[in-house]
Amino acid sequence: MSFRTTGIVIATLAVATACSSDDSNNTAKGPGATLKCASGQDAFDTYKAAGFVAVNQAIFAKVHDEVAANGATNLGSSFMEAGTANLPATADDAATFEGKLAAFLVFAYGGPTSITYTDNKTYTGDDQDMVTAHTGLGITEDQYMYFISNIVVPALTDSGVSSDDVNNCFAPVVLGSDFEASIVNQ
Amino acid sequence: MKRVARWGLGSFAAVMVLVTVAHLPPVAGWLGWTHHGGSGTCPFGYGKPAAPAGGAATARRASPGPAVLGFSLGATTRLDVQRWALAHALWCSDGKGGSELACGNAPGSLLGGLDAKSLWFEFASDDTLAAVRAVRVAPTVDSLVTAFHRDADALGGLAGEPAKQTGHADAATLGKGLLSQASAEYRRGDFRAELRATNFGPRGYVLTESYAL
Repeated sequence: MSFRTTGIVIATLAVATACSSDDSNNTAKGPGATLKCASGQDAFDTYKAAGFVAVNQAIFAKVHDEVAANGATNLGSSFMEAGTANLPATADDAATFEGKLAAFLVFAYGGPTSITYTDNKTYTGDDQDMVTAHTGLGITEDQYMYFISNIVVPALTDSGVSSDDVNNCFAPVVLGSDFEASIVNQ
Repeated sequence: MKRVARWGLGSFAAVMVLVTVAHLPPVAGWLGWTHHGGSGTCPFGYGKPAAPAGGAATARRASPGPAVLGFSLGATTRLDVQRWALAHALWCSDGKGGSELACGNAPGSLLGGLDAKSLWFEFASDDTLAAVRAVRVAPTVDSLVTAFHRDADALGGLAGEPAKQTGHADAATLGKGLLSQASAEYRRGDFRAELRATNFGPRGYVLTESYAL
């Protein structure tokens, strides 16, 4: 094989690799991408990255308030044991956990596969294994329902998400049986 | 006679060793004889309880707090709850540090209103009830609305008008779609309560209640 031929092959491979990488970034979409808000667009296109950051921050603020006021029995161990590394699921410290959750929500609701969070770090949302992230935590069905009703829904509405959009373009993902099964009783 | 005396002394010594070992803080903790602060104590009241960590808020109250779900915040003890659960054949499990207790499937006849799938109890450092939360599931939106208003009326009597309300606790609002929600929060002194009615679709209509000092 001549140098010229080798160069063409390498160049072709490089272009092919770059294209496939771009394609995966552009086409990989979370389950919420098919859900339409009142705007006619998915949740990410409706509320943008800033809206998702606000919701994510509200979730963590409400968890903090809940634990401070009422203890942690009702929320399970996800938030309280972050960073302890008692289990693989609790290896991430609180800041990393927050960034990862933001990236996961962004991706799940139609956004890009990765985001730069408020700590200026980049987190990816499409490669997170929810089963691994919750294995050993023993989160019960009722703890999950309490978390959704007392933390997630108020975080959404307090951040400006309309109740119609909660119904139509947010709820189906977090109430999906497969999604819940990846978190509950792991 | 000597043999009886030897057996008696031997048994006494064995019991003393067991009691001593059981009172070692790590063993007492493992047995669940702990206060909120995590230190061990004797289940028969001979241990020295941990000092309250949070000052007046966690010290034993001079008078019982509000009665909610049949329990008195600030007065009902962990042992009271355990006896209540035992008397009604409810399954409960300890949480971390011995300060928490989670019980499942309590009939509505015990609590007033809907059956509770889960009850979560938090105890202060003096072992009195600091918070109780319930998750109840209603089969229909109408039964959810009825339960919400019954609790709201009771809380109105305890704490007056809600400090904060969201949504409308009516069938039209709550029946609208997935995660449609109404809530009411109450505050009076150090007493806080929150009701949330949420539509979980095919899973049912969920009422979460939270009462705390």
